[in-house]
Amino acid sequence: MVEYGWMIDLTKCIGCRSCQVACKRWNNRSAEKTTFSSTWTNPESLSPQTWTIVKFKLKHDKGTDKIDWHFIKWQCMHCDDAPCLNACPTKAIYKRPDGIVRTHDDRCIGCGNCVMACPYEVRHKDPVAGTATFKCDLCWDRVGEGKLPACTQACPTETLVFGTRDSIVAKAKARAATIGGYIYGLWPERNLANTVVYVSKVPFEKLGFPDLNMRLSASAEVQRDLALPIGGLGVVGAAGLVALAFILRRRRELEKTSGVEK
Amino acid sequence: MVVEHLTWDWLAALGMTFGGLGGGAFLVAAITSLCTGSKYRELLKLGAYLAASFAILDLLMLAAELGHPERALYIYSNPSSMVTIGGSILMVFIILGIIYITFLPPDSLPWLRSWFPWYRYTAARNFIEVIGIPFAVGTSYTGVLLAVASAKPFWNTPVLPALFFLSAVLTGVMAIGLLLSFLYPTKLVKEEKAILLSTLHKVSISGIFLGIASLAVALFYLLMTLSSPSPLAVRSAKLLVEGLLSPMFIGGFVVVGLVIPILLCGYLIHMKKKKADSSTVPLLMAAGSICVIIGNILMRYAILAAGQLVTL
Repeated sequence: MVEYGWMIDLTKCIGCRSCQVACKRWNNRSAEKTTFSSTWTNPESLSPQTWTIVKFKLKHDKGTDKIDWHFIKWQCMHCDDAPCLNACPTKAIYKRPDGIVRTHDDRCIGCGNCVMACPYEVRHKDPVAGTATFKCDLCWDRVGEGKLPACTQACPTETLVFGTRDSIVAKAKARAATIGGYIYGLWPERNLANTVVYVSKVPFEKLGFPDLNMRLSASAEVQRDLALPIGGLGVVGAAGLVALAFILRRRRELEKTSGVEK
Repeated sequence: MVVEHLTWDWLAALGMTFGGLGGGAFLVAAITSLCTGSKYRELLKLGAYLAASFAILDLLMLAAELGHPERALYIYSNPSSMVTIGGSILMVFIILGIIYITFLPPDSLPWLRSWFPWYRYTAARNFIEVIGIPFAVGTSYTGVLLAVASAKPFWNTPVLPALFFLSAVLTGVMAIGLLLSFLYPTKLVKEEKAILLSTLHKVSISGIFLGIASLAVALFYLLMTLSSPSPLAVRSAKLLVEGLLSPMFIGGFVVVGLVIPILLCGYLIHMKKKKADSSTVPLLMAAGSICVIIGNILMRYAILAAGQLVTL
């Protein structure tokens, strides 16, 4: 099976939200009631009804008084080592050989652990369905028939480029080299690469992308440094208590015996 | 104060508190039994009853929060998930807790003893206590569950499991103190009264130590997250210190749930030293215990909410 790749070139996005509309239409998602807020991003976050959004980031340089707009298409990243998949206690979440992360609806119990694990805040529990299964599935039904994902088809500026994994990674590297920019989604030191790869002229931490190296290592360290030592400590502690109980009881018995002798 | 649209909300906070309380009560009973035999039998019995019943309550709360509780048994599918690990620990703990109760049948139901003839065998009871201790510690797995949630830097610290564990043992001790206070007026025999007062005194001492330790760890947790390199963690911590959740965390947990019970426990110890009239001891103990339990529920909710309200 072909492994897919998907490049999102933020230098080309004009914030038209065609991708949002196309995603809603193809996946039959309903509109959501929205409110005024301090951002142009609308809706403000992903939800079971909204599987992709364009985040509007406004950067004001006080020195030059210049305003920079950044538009960031946001959806599931279809991670290589998906934290949601690892956190799911029921194995409802799975990664297909083509790289798409999907969920078995009938195995999801709606515990919310994947919601807490996803560093991109993609998963949300649907209060009606009671599951956290609704998110971008990279239009697996379309791409399986050789079509483009709905959002990519609708994009007027070639911000979204879909293809095989190797070709997309090569294009992303070439594009980043051309513009002197940055790539997000490739971690060669950890031998990992998300299916979705971003290219930008601006460093990603300035655009609000999570520093995955820091987050995943922190949570992994807690698991490694805590879960195992606590388990070990429990066993050693229990053995120590048995010994303590034995010593105390023996001492009490000896005291009783010596009392009788007196 | 209710914050809407949280994936893990009040039910989760209640479940986490109840599970911790059950585990803490078991730990207190088991360690007391292993170190002093059956001298504090009332304490052992209450610890055993609290352990199993609150662990079951925890399970019910967690099941109630699931979107599909009818599929709850699927949680045992992924051994690398903390929910699977925690759910397994809780289940074993409930079974051990129920077995533990059979070794400590209530005096008011003498016919129960004929059902559980093994209740006389102290060595067997000690065996259950020793086996149960790691699982009782494990009921505080929720601290680790939050600490490994990679989307929430505010929770990604080993201090959080320590805070959850210490406060769980504190609630366990104080819940035993609460029930002992209710028993107090019914115990009219002088010797029993003396043992009860002595037990409450020990509960007060434990309450002070655990309360101060919880306070220190809570403050350390706040300092650590306020100075975190992650802006998300700092924003969450600020919610607890000066934002929406500060009345709940500072007022509800730190003041009501820790400082007031510490002062009450200190006063109880002072009363014992001065050999003052002991008639108010149960009342003060009950007040302190209720404060601790309420404070712990608020603490868990505030930490859950602070992690979830702050987004990228």
